Amino acid sequence: MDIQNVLIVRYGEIALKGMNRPYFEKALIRRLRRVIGSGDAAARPFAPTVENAEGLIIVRGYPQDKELTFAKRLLRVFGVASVSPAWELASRNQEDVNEAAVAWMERRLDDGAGGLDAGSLGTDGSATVCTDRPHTFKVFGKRADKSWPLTSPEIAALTGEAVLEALGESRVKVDVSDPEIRLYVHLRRKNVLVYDDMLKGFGGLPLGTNGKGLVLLSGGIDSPVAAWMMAKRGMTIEAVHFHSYPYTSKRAEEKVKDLADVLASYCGRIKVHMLNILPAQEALAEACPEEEMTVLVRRVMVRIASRVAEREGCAFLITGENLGQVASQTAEGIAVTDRASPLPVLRPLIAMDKVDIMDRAREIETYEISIQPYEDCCTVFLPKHPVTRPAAAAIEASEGLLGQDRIAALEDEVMETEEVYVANV
Amino acid sequence: MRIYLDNCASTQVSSEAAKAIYFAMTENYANPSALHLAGQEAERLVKQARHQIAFSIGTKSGNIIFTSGGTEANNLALFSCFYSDSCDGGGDIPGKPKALLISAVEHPAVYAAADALARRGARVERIPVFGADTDFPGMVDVSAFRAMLADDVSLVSVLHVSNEIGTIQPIEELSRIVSLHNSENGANIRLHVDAAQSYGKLGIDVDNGDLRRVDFVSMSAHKLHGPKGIGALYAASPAKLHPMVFGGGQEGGVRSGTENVPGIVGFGACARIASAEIVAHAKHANTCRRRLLDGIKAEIPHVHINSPEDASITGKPGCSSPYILSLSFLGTRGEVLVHELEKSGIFVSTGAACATLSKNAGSGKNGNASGVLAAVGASDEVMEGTLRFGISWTNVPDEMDFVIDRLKKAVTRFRRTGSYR
Repeated sequence: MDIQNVLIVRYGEIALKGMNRPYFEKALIRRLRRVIGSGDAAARPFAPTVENAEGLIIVRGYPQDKELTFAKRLLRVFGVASVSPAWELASRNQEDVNEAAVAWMERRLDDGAGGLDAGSLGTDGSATVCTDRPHTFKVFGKRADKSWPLTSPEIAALTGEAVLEALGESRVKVDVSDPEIRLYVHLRRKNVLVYDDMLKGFGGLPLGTNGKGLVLLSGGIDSPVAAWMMAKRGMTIEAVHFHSYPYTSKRAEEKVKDLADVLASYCGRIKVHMLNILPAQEALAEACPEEEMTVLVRRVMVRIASRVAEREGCAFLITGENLGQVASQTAEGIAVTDRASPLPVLRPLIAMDKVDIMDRAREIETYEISIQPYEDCCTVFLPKHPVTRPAAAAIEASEGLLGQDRIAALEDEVMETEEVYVANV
Repeated sequence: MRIYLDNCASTQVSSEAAKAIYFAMTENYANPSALHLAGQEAERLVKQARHQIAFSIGTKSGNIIFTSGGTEANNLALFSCFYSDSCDGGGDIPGKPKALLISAVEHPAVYAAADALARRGARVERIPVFGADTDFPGMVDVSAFRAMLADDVSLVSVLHVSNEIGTIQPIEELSRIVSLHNSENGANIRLHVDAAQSYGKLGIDVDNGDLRRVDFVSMSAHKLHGPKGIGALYAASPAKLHPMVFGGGQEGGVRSGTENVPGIVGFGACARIASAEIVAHAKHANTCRRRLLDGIKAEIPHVHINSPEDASITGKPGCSSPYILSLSFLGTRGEVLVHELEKSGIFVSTGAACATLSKNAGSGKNGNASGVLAAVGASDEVMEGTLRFGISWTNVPDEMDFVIDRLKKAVTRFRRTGSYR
């Protein structure tokens, strides 16, 4: 009997697409090929392949001892609904199916969790098996190839019987309503798949299927989550980071690079434009009212970010703004900042609660980096009593104190400080 | 150009030490415990270095225990007094609760260790120090100390030179008081001196005068142009130390683990140089310090001197070490000045991280909160604008003029933009 370890990748929302489905499928496959890439040291000397057949994507030819590593990588690809480690049988007869099912169950009972650290990946709930009483199971037959002589329930019954007979009632017991182990036998035109576990992915749409946005990455908790959420909808991500060196530490810039590296594991290559906003901050601090500093600086940031975005071909700005979180993120504050941007500003976190943002940050593993205590925006320029309900007219009048020409010149000066970091997986 | 003025944090390894280390790594790499000739040669190097270090503080080789650094030496001294029967009795298992007296301006390696002992039942008291408005900021109040010598006290631990402001503690006098108390009351209080900032820089001779009664001295190599990862504890009675690391029985069973031969050899080279040049080095550092201080006083207004203004090259209590100068540039933030200076290749440190502000300083909860400036009663403004200059004999007096110039520019810039804070 010829058995091969494979990873089954299911796509969620893409399946709902009509005429455009092939476009999304191709984008997804391209992305999957990239994350298991043959240029990857972990994959060498293996050459993993990705095949899209009969509504499922099958990944083959990865090193077997790194199955979990590869599964985890696939789970980070947007558009992937779930991944299952499985056995693929080249021969299609019920005897071989039975034999494979028995062997799979044996392994499952021996290993407990079937060799997978399923808990950390978020499964469909199949529990770790580690008790002495008989384990309950149910076989699910699935007949994609309708020419097969047996129906799905018949396949399930035959396979279940074989498992019961081989392992004995002291070890396994059938439970059709709430089984511990859900064993799937999937008959397809060219092969049979046997598996029992489903690791949930993030869903969403494949990267690169929905335009390009430039995220204002501060180093805090929110902005990486905002970038991640837009990337999950298929948007290609680029980033801009403003610092105030030497008023902020170089370590704060390192932190932003670390965040970009984590994001890159989901979003692919990310270009981070690092800009020193200090010249603008100093000039604004000298000329304008203290309590308006935060809003004024944010407007400068948005204008400069738009310039970078247009140069890089990004049609949107993305921010981690969250209504009411801090003084500058009041409705009025956001409105006045928004007016300064020639590009549409996407704010995926706008209506989320802080705790939910934090939970998501933990889930995508940016949280621990974000909470390192380096300042991302220099508190030297933080007003004691920031204006919380800025009026557009008043803010524009304050900018008038410097003059539009001077502000444009300062923006040029900030643009010249640009350094680029490229985060890559 | 690089002007490194953070020598209290760590130093450049001297070429003598680096050469000795290289030789030890590439030629004498055998295990000193090995029976063969190569092992014996490595053992000879360790023996020689131990002798150099012992000689530099006036003791015998047998009283020097190599550790992974100053922190471990401090921990070894403190934990030994708590666990071992060399103090109040009680054996390996802590017996009756004991008390530790530490100064209010200790390094975390002592106060965090003391906190750990407090959690195991020890009573820990902090000896008060003179405040920022006196002539001896940070020096322990000897009369207050005398009154704290209760029956349950088993150890007194004092940082010889404050790592943050450079104040020299009156260790001779403390030693005299402790030994008098011991003989009058039949007590057995031990005295530990943390000499991380003073060893090899100010003379410490445990075979001379009142220092003969000091029980423990902690030393570190990397503050003295030696490598990181090596230090030593002087113990008057090493047999009574209580090991914290168990294994092959090296260092007389007190500190197991294969000897860090390259580190030890590098440390030995530093000790040898320090013994020979200690006075010349201190004089040189003092010249740099004076030049820096006078220049800043003349050029930059609103500067508060946190260290005792006068330095002593002979270790006079209440003065500052010539190797340390702590200043506060009022109305600025030390952290920003650090970054501004680094652009010109000048490396200094903040004496107090932001976390040291009085609201959370000295709580011992925050790893950054040394509390030295808080302990001397410095204001938030003073703490926030603090810079610490760590001087060494590798610095050149002429460099100081450049530092003063850049510092003046940085302070002026900050005061202009940050004025409304």
